[in-house]
Amino acid sequence: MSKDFQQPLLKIENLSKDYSLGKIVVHALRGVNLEVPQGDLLVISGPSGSGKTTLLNLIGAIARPTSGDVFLEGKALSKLSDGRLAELRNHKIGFIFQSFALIPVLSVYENVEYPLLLLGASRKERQRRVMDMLGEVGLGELARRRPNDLSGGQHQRVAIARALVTEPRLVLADEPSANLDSETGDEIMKLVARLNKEQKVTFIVVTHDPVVSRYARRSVHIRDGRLLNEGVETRACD
Amino acid sequence: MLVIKLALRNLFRNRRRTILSLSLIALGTAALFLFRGYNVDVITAVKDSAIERHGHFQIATEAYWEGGRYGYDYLISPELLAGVKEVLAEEPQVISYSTNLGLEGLIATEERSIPVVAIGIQPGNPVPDVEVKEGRRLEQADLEAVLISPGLARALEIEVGDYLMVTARTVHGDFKSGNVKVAGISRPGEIEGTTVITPISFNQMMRETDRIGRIVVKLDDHGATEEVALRVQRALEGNDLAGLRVRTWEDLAWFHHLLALFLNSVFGFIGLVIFLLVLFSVLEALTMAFFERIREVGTVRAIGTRRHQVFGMFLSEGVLLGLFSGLLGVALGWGIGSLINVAGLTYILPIAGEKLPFRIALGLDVAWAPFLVALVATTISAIYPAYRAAKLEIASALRFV
Repeated sequence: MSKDFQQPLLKIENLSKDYSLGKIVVHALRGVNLEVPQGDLLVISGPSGSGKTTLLNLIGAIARPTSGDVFLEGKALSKLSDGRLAELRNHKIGFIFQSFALIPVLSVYENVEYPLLLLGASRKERQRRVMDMLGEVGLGELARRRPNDLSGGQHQRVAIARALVTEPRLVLADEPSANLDSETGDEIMKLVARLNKEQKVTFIVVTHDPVVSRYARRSVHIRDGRLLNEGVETRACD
Repeated sequence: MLVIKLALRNLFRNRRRTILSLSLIALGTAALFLFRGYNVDVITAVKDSAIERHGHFQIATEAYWEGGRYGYDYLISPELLAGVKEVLAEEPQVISYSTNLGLEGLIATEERSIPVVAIGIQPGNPVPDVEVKEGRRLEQADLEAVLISPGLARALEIEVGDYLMVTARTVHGDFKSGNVKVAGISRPGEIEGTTVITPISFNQMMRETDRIGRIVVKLDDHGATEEVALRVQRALEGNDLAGLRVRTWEDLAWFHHLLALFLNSVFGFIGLVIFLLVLFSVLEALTMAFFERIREVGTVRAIGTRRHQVFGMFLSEGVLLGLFSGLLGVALGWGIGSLINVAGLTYILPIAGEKLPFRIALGLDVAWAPFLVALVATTISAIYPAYRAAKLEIASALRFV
């Protein structure tokens, strides 16, 4: 086990989430427990409707659990106000979405710059960090382009740059390769693995694609809202 | 800056829809601008006319203003008048004043007689300044002359140069008659139907008094009326002239108030209709924009944008739309108004009976209200979609298709 894994970044305790669909209550998550150490690249795999995106939303503080709690660097997310959660998402969590979710009216540069503007970084600092990140994902030349002029793979690279530009402790990726062809999806996962290795950023990737698990340091499987092998499987991805 | 930048970009994201909204609001604003410009022009013309007729303010005894006077004690003696003149001499903004003495009596030709009120003025004094369409104004040399309205001239079947007999009571209660020559016939609307203008010396001779009824004062600035009138009133009270009261043209020109009230009410109604039209059309456009961007709202919220910032983004779109369309509407209205003024159009108002210039007042005092209607309507329109966007649950917004 690497030294990076010794400090748990994320701890999930007995996490449950129920949805009400009229009179029917859907138990999306049922008492999930999980620990994610600093520097991990954890892949959570499972079929559609298994609860993996719900779990990711709760970890990312974009939804509230029905019971249980998520602790990020020891802080219970359930205790934080809406404003503090927004601040936390901006400072410490990066998101990569299946549908890329770039803002179409902003250029590539502006999309990556957006979280830094929220952070209040200076113009010079923003410029340095954005260009560094775009260089890191191989899009330095396309900074002025609008998202509509990019390919699917380029979209996702911009999304990765946006997720990493604030130097977050944790990056959450929801099916990052699902909307891409297998070759491009593979490239994206290689990029994720490289950034995890080089920048020591913790990644949690949810996917239904078993191929993605190849890049994991650890992987867990989720079915019917329960983790089947909580934190047991550890692999080196190098 | 981030909020404004995004709002600006999003505003022109769906150009067709934005141009449609922009055009609608700009046209409404331009229509309001033109209507308000016409109102301001008419109200200003009536105000100027009222000041020409009444001066900026008048000074008379309390009994004169209250009416129901008995006898002639309400008249101002030469001694009191001298005191008033001293007070007025201290006011640098007073450019002229004249003394008036009214005379109620009969004016007659050989065939017919009509009861009239003769306003005795100081000929040659610009207060009141009556425009004549035939003949001439009263001059200082005129002792027994009269200006009449076109209506009275028609009723008496007389022309300029004809003589009329005036019969009235003296201050002692006796009847007295005198002859006056028609010096001029006023333009329509300048003199009310049964009012005639005579030299004050003629009225004093007829009344057999050296007293006057009131003093009409004119200033060099309309805006100073209230201030100078108040100062003069205080000075009168401090100079043993406490029985004299000052009334401004606004106290006397009831027609001006009614007209202003009517035109402003119509403007208010039209403004409300345009306000509602803008409100609902922009509300629809921004609500559509909100539904199109639900996932995007989820994304920016997930990245760390706070609720109030999302609210600000959508609200800013409404404010920017209002600013652009309001400015465009004012520019359009200003342009059309200038063309109308250059074209020299005229119209006939029934009470005036003659062609009047159709003019649009142009200026920032005209522009602010239509601009504000556009800005407030679009801002209010944006509140609902902005509120809904700010209240979105992030996870639900990200799932929205």
